Amino acid sequence: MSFTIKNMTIRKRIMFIFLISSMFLILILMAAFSYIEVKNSQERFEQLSRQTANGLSFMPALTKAIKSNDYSEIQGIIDRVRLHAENPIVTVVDRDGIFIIHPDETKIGTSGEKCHFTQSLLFGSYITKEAEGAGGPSVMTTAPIYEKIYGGEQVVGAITVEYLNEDINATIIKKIFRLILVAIIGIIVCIGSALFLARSIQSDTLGFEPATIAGLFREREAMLDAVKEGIVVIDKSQNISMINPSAKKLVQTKDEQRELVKALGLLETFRKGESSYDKEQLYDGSVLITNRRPLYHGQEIVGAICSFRDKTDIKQLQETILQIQGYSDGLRAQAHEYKNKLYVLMGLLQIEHYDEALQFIEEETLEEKQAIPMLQMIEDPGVHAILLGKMAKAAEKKVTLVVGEGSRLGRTSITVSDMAIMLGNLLDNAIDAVLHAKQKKIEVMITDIGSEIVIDVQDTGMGLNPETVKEIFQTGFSSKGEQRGYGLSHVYETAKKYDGMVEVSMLKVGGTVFSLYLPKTKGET
Amino acid sequence: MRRLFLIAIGISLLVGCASQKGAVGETFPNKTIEIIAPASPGGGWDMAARSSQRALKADGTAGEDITVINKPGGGGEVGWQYLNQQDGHFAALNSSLLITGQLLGQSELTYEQFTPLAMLSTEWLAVATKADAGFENATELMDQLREDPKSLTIGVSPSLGSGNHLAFVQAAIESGIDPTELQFLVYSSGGDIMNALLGGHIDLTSNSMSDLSEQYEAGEVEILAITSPERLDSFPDIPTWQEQGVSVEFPHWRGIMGPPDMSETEIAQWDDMLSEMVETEEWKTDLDNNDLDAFYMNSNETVDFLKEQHEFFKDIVSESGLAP
Repeated sequence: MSFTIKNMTIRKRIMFIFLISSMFLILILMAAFSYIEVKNSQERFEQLSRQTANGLSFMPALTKAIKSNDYSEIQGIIDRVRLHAENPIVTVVDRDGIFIIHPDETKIGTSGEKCHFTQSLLFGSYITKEAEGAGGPSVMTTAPIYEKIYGGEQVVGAITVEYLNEDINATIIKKIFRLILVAIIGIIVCIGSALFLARSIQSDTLGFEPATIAGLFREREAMLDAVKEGIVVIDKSQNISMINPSAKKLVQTKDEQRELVKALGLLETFRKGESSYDKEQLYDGSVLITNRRPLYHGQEIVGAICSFRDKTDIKQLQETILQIQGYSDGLRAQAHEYKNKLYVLMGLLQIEHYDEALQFIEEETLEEKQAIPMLQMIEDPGVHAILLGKMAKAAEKKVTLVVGEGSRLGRTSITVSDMAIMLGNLLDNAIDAVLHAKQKKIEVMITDIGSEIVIDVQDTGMGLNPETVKEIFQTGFSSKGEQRGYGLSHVYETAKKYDGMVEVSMLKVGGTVFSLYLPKTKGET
Repeated sequence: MRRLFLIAIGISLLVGCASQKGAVGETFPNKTIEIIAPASPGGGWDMAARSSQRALKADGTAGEDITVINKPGGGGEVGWQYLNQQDGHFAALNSSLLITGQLLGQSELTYEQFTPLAMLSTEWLAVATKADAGFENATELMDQLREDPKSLTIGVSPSLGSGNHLAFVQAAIESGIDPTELQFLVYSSGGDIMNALLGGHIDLTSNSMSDLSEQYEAGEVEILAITSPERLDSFPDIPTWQEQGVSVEFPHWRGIMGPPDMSETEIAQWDDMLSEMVETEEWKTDLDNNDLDAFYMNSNETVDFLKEQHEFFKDIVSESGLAP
């Protein structure tokens, strides 16, 4: 049953259920009505026969007719009464039980079945019962007919008024047929309203079957869950009607949701009804690249949808790649330079300028000595590599990058990529800062004494504009032009991730010191 | 916990009800007792009701006031229907009509619907002719009726199917006469019948001794047979049907009954009151004055007696050709 119902279209299903329930209801009502009607009819006809019989039995004309043997007048009276009382069969017997009135004229003058009348004739009883009457099985009342005589009363005959069962049944059946007619109209109305309901449901569901809609809904949910892009939809009242998991990651509370809607520019899209693509919007320190469209129902705007992705994510990735590319470039450059030096050394040796060769080697090793021994104290391979790479880059640009005396760093649990973002950016900035300075020197001090790793990057550049110092850690700030300026904000964000902080201070002698503080404990857990 | 609480309430209610019921039982009757005479004042039922009232008051067992209310109509039915809706302080007079009414299709009420309390009195029914009618005895009368059932007109009151009527129908059946052939005339009272009999409109009557005794003692009417099993002390000259070879014994009894569903205590109380009442001088004098015989039965005996009477009347009705 349920299987077949499931397979039906929604219209058929509604029709089916309506039809079944209305038929069931109507059948029950019909049965109840028929039962009551049969009972009532029985009672009604019993009562009618009793009233008619009693009424007729008290008519003086009837007594007179019996006594005078003139029945034409009484027959007329009886016929008139019958017309008003649903045409019963009326029979009258005299004192001896001889029929004097009978619908079958041949019976008149013959003796009726006595026991019908005996009780009335002998005991004057008024009896209503169901029995075999003059015309067949019927509901009948027999009443005595009295004559007043010498101050007393004598029974002179009896009258029977009977309603044939078949006539009673016919009236019941007639009523039930009328009822069936009404029932059919009822069912037609039911089918009509079922059709109307089905149509209105189908118009709400754009003509899809509920199962199809459920399928589409599931697919859409899965799709929304699967995409990495955030998707937010607002409805007419500008509340979020749909938000996918990616977008939800950004917001927890209702207030935040409202904030997000505003930040995404959905309200504007809703108001203006204009689509916009690849627009950047700022939300909570991140740049989101948004695509927005209003939702129309006919001509009316009923909401707006926005899909977005975090530009920071992309940028971060790009930067990490750039850093790593930088190391490899640096290493290649170093290798190249080293090769050159070897050529020089080979040339000097070939022309047997041994003193100069020795001096050259001494010079070279002296330079290395300055940095390398300090570099040895940096045990963390990531930091080591970054410093090495940046040194190479600095050397290419004729910038001296040295690791300060007393620097030391054990292994840390900060990932290389995060360290590259923090240290790498600071060093890059420092290199950029000293490019055009007279003295091109950068000193990095790294210590991990105590509970913190402290990294100072000191340059000899021009320093910062005091007015912009406060903004340098904000997204989008850059002294290097548009579409830049994520560097320091990344340093800031990443340091925050490790519960650390970054400070900037300017030296009186010129130049800037960036200090990075990273708690050890956070990394260890 | 809550259930326990409910049970406790239930028990306390039950106990409360039980004690209340007991209290009512102990003090029954606790208000005026009303005796319903299902007829207008002056008839046999009214007389019986007022005799009971007098005798109960004289006896004093009831300890409450006693009144009589008349509810005439429908051959007793109106009064009995009224009783149907009352409590144990009400009682109504009854007679064989309670049984025959239903048997003859004239009433829906049955004797089983009520609580029988007692049989009170009976009178015996006699067949009388005018003194100069010329019948020596009942045998002669029945012989003529057997010969020609329509030759004589019989007066009965107050209706066909009454005790008077049925007593003669029984006698006719026992004598081998088809009762449906008989010419009955119905009068509304015994007085009318006496007038019709003396005026020559009817040839004989089946009536109660109380209605006949006066004219009998005056010598105006002759009484041919009486339905008592033995000759009456007060009328030793009147022969019974039985001694004339017709097996008829027909008490025209009057009893008293209460509404349906009376309690045991109420019935016992009524038994006490009524058994004391029938012993009073007032009651006995009233019986004598009205030519009635004592016919007291207590509530238990009355239950059996009514069953017996029901069978008896059923037989008469069926033998008269209604259900061959």
